[in-house]
Amino acid sequence: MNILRPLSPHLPIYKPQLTSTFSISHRISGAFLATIVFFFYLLCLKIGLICFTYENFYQSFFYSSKLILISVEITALALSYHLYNGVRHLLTDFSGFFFRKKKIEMTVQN
Amino acid sequence: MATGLIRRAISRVQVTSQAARLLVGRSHASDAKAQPVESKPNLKSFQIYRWNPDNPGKPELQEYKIDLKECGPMVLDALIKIKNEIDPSLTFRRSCREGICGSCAMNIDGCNGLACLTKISSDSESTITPLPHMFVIKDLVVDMTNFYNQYKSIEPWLKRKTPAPTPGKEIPQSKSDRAKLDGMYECILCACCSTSCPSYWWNPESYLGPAALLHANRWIMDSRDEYTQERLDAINDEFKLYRCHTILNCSRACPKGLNPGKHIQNIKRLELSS
Repeated sequence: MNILRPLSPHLPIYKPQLTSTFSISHRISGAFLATIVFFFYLLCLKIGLICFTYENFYQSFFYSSKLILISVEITALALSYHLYNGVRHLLTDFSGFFFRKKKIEMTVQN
Repeated sequence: MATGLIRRAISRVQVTSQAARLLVGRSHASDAKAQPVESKPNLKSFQIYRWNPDNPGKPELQEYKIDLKECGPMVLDALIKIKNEIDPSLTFRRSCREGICGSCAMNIDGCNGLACLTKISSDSESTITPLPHMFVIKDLVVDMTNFYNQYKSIEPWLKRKTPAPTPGKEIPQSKSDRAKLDGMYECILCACCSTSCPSYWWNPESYLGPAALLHANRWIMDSRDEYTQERLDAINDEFKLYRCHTILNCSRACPKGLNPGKHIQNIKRLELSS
């Protein structure tokens, strides 16, 4: 008899842990920053880099719509979170290289 | 005289009988003017995942109410009580009831753990589901074949190229070398860590998972094993090892307090320098 077994529930029931929340926020903030940078690059291509030399450009750009102000705030939040979490990753994942270098050479047997 | 002896023997037997003990107990209680005990049952409802392969439909959460005053402290005690008194068809794995066999691994209130080591929380409701993202055989029993095959694939036995230094005797290992295995040999293969890893959820067949990688590190770090480089090369794969993104849910879930994330980082470090 051919019965398809169900898959036990995973995302809907698993309690959000501190570790998994950090990790997924790092990924989401990274993806968000990447899209922001991409669209900003497209914008720069379109308007030409000469605009950045004019003062009035910044006034009109940031205050043209309220959406831009909010997205700048959110981008700043995403950038700072991604930066701090990235530093935490570097420190924890690569601590072995900085502190226990001699032991690495001893454990790798040839 | 014989009848006297027999009478005394009978009276001694009677005193040790349960009824006689109750009589003695009651006499003491009446001395202290004991109040009649009003046992208000402390009810807790358990929402337990149910699915029957003989009558397959949609899996559902079934509610059971248990009086916590009549039940042991651990979730496994509640499950056994439900099975004994309310619903004998509730199916789950269990064996040692002391947290050493790893059979009763399941998801309790959103976190993976062993039912025999997880205390029943004092909330009014608890949800018990099987280990996440595994195929369900029945109720709380999941198919562990893939998990065991991944463990087998890392070849968890001692491999040597040269014979033992003293033939017929054990291979000597210093205390410091043996201490390197602490934190890895205690793994009971309960699968709580692997099934808590989102990376393992999305790639169960290609990613080895924290449990298998912890054991891979256990054999890599064993000073008696001479196939270290081959072991490192075998898992130096984009999927087998590098699906690990240091989410570290595994170390949070381990019911024995082990740290698979740390050992996976050790393997990655060794890969880089080999």
